[in-house]
Amino acid sequence: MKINIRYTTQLRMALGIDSEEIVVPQACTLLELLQQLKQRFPEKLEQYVLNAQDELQPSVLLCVGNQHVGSDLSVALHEGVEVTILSVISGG
Amino acid sequence: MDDQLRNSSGIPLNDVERATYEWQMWVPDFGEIGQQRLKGASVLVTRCGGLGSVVAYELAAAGIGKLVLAHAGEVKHSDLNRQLLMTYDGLGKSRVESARHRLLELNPRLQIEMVAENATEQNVSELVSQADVVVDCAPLFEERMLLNREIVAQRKPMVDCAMYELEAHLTTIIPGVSPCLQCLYPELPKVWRREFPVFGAVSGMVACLGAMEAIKLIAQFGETLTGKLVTCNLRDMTFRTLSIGRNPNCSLCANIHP
Repeated sequence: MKINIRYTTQLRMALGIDSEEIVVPQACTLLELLQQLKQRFPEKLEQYVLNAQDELQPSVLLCVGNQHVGSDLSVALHEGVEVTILSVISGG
Repeated sequence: MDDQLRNSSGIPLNDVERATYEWQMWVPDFGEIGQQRLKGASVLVTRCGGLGSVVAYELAAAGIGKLVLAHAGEVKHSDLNRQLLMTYDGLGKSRVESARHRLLELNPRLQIEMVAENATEQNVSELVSQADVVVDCAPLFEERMLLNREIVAQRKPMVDCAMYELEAHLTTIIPGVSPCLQCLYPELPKVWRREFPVFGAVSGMVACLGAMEAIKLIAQFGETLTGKLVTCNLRDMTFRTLSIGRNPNCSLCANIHP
């Protein structure tokens, strides 16, 4: 199935991508999606999103659709959903 | 929300104030009572940089009664692309003094409490205690988390504004009602750098939104961003409102109830 991913702020700058559509297996969870992304961008994903133990970094918020999902990476994704990876910012 | 804010009927206006604020008092649900509430309220703006300068300027223009401004240091050339309360004449001089001068040109009735320091462990309790609402415009997470801890302890609402490059985030925290910063970021984020790419038009845009949140909180009208996070990307003019929830295990606010 297809998932839309939106990258923001520092992560967007680090990856050089605003958004993309990727194909994942049916019944994919949020963790599985992030692991798939980490295989493509190992260094940047580990720095900004998932640490070496595949735990969420404290500098990121994840939204599925318009809902923040906290640290629950077991959320099941569905066809066409948008996942937003919000990299924390503090510019004043 | 702070009971004092909720129960406030503000301070009666004089003729000059009625004339000055006439056009905004035409706003439905705001009116003269809203203006009176602004006159009777105080707002802490932490750092008067690209964000805080514009927050303070808009609140001064709107007729807020008192501003508490906390910002250390002297005006530098690199402030002047966005810190709209700072001027070339003020180079090398105190930032809060420059801010005070500009704000009083706009609104000579405004009370200003100037603190030539950033929020620290030593001063944060006193700073927050002087305000009905806090607007967090700090460029460092250490300061944001400190302010967050204190507004939770004192049960004060805080508007949290942040920007980076052409993007911005904005939310309103009401302790016990909406997620606090600790709910969202249980540990101090490690990836933030003190210096960041910024246009004044971006920081000013989110500052205007933040000032409007403070005005709505004080005047008690409209809907605030309680439990919501607005994200903006001016590169493609995308504005989104995301739902954010409290963390039931938050070490700061999990045991606080409305």
